[in-house]
Amino acid sequence: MRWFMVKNNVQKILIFLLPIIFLAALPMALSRYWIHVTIITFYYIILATSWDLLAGYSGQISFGHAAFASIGAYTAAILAIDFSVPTAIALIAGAMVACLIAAALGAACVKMGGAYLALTALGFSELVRLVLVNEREYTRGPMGLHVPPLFEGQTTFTYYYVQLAMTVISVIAMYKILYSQRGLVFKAILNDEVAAGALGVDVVRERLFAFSIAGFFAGLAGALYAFYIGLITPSMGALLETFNAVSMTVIGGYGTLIGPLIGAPLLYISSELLRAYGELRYLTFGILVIIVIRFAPEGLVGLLKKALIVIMRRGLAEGER
Amino acid sequence: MVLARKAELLLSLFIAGFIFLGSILTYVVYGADGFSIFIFNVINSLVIGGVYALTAFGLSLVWGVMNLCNFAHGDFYTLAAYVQLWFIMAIGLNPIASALTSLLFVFALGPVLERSLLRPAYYSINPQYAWLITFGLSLFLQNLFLNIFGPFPKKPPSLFFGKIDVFGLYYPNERAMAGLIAAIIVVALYFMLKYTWYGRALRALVQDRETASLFGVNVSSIMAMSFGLGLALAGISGLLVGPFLLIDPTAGFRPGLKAFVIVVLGGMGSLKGSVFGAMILALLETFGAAYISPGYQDAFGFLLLILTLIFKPEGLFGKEL
Amino acid sequence: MNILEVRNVTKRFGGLIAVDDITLDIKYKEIVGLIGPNGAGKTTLFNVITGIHTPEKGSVKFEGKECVNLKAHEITRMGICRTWQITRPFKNMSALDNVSVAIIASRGGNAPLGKIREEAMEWLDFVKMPQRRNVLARDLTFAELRKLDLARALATRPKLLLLDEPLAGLNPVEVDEMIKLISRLRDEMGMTIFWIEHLMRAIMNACERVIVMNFGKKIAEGSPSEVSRNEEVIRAYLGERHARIAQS
Repeated sequence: MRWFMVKNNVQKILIFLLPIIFLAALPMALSRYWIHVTIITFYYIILATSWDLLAGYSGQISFGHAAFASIGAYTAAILAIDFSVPTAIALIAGAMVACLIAAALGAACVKMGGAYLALTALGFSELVRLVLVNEREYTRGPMGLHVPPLFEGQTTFTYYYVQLAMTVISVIAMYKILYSQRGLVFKAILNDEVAAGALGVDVVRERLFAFSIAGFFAGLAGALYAFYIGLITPSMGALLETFNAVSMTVIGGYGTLIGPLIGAPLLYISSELLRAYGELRYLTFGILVIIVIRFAPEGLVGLLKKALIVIMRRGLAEGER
Repeated sequence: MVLARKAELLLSLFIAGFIFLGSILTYVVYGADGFSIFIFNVINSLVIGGVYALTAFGLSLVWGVMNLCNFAHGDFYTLAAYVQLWFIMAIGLNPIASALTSLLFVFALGPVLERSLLRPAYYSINPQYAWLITFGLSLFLQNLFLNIFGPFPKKPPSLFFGKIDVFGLYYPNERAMAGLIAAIIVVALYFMLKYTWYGRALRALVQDRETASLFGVNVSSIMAMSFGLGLALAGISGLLVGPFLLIDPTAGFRPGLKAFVIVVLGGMGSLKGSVFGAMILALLETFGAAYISPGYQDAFGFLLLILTLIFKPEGLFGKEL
Repeated sequence: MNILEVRNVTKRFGGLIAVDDITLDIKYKEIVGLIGPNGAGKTTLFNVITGIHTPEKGSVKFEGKECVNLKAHEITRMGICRTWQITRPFKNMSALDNVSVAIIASRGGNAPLGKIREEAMEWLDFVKMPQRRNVLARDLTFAELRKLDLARALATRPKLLLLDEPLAGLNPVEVDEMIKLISRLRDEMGMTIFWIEHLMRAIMNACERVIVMNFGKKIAEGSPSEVSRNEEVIRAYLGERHARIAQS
């Protein structure tokens, strides 16, 4: 993986730090509404990246991803409210529970391929939603559960930094997992599962691991969201939310880490800008997903790469003159 | 072969036995009223099961022949009903003509979609892309309906009126006719599959695509037609059931998911499997909702799905007719 | 103890018996050839030994440990690795990455990627294709793919190496190169080699012992010269007439 033209470590660190510094300074320049939008964008970044890890890297396309976010959210909320668990611990606990349940689902699905996996995951997410709707005693059903703030004196502005930090940590963690030995192993499994197994890869364990990690981060995102927004409903885990994560990843670039990083802000911010047009935005996303997969399956990242290659070639040609 | 005949017999006996025992039990325990309710539920299950069978077989066909699990299958159920509504409202066409025209339209969409969207994606780098496209298609369709027709349920005009007296309770003719028409279509499908050239080509394709093409089966045109047929079957279900279950933008989602469960339960590409699977699911749902828990009605399908995938992943009837 | 002990292994696919009651031993550091007409069940036997298929009957013991019920990756980690009759490279990964995966997979890669890549380079050096390390596997030539397959298997540091027709499709120069590489494996690295092959020249020169299969059964076993004069073997390959000619 060549970081384009980056040669040495100093440049790498700069490329990495600059956006973070930019993002840290951002809230000072934005209205409260737009800080809110950015926070939600971060939520989607974590959700979409974790889906990409599961689908694009370990090849397990699941259509039930948002369920883990809602599991994380409700677990954290219920722990904080009914069991008086300190919010920070409830946050992690929510992510852990989502991780475990994801591992269980992964174990059930491990022998399935393609559509079976995707639709079983969808069925599972519907089941989760049903449980959340029906067990009103604990979850307040469709009316929504009120969640206390993460810390005293929490405001949109201060929460922004919590969310930013957690997003950065999550993305870096997922990056480390993917651009390591395990990333190579995942790639090998996608290329030829049997050959990988014959070389010693425990395909089942790797797949379970991917599910657990994806579930953990989705749950974490959900729990963070819960403590921020203060009111969660079962629709958090609905298919539409999974659609969002999938669209963001696919349009940004399926199977790349940067894909969701680009896709999430692009889609969510434009959907906010286009709020006036109501439901037309999701229509557009649907069409975009179809067009992107049909004509540019590598998403925006793929298109950018191609553009860069063309530019570099032209630059070299110019240089030779 | 022998085992297969046994399975049909066993299942039929099981269902008949259930009805018989249930009748006696409810009569004894709850009296004449209880018995009436039981029979009412049985008839309802059969009707709903019949309609499910159509949708399921449509999906089964597409999946078996094209190796594509059409994620948007349920949305064609909704599409047919909405198109019918549109013909009625915009052109003033009578309901039956509208229904038939709508069906033709949905059927024609099959080859169009297959050729423009799915085939190129399917033969590209990764066959998984094809059903990511159907995912986008589903998002697109649901939001299209939302934008054009609004979120509130609509009622297509009824074609049948009146009720039948069933042991003291009245069962709407409309529902009964839906079930009857579904049954007729299933029988027609059976004869089509068994005795026409197209039917035999389909069965060959489901069993072994390469060999079938070697025997002169024009694979691509059959695939296009079958996709149309599959969509049309989903459409018919929507048209039959619309008048009493009502149509809203997401109306097709649950039938689509149930169709998936039935296809897994019954076996891909198998008409028998769709019929028996649909009956089992319908009975389970109706009686589960009546005697166990109405809120979790849809969860029974998921339970069936998981059990099938664990114990008999190829389904009850595998790839048989 | 022998490195591999196969006892009464039978593998069926529906009505077809692919491997029929096979019993054989392989001793440490032997080079044993496995020959037989196409469809004799040789690759299926390899698949059973390496855990890709589970036999209906029989036992396979590697260094005394039963492996019939183990999964493929577990067997590889015990020390058996195989190459494929039709190569199975990881097409969208470079040659270096292909070998790296083998190292990571078989030994639990906790070492930093740099070190793993270094070792992968050593294996690419051994099979004499270091200059192709960054080429994607789908762009390699056929002979290079065979070498890559070998390098990958070697990277798992097997004690027993199963080669499935590694010379098929190679030209004579490439064949000689490959045979030399294979001999080095036993001589320099102490590996035991069990080798399916159709090229008789290689079998005669490189193998100490040959086992012959036909229709799933073992029909002969012995030194290459013994086996080449065995009547049943001749019948299997050349038909009845030649067997009688040979006998007379």
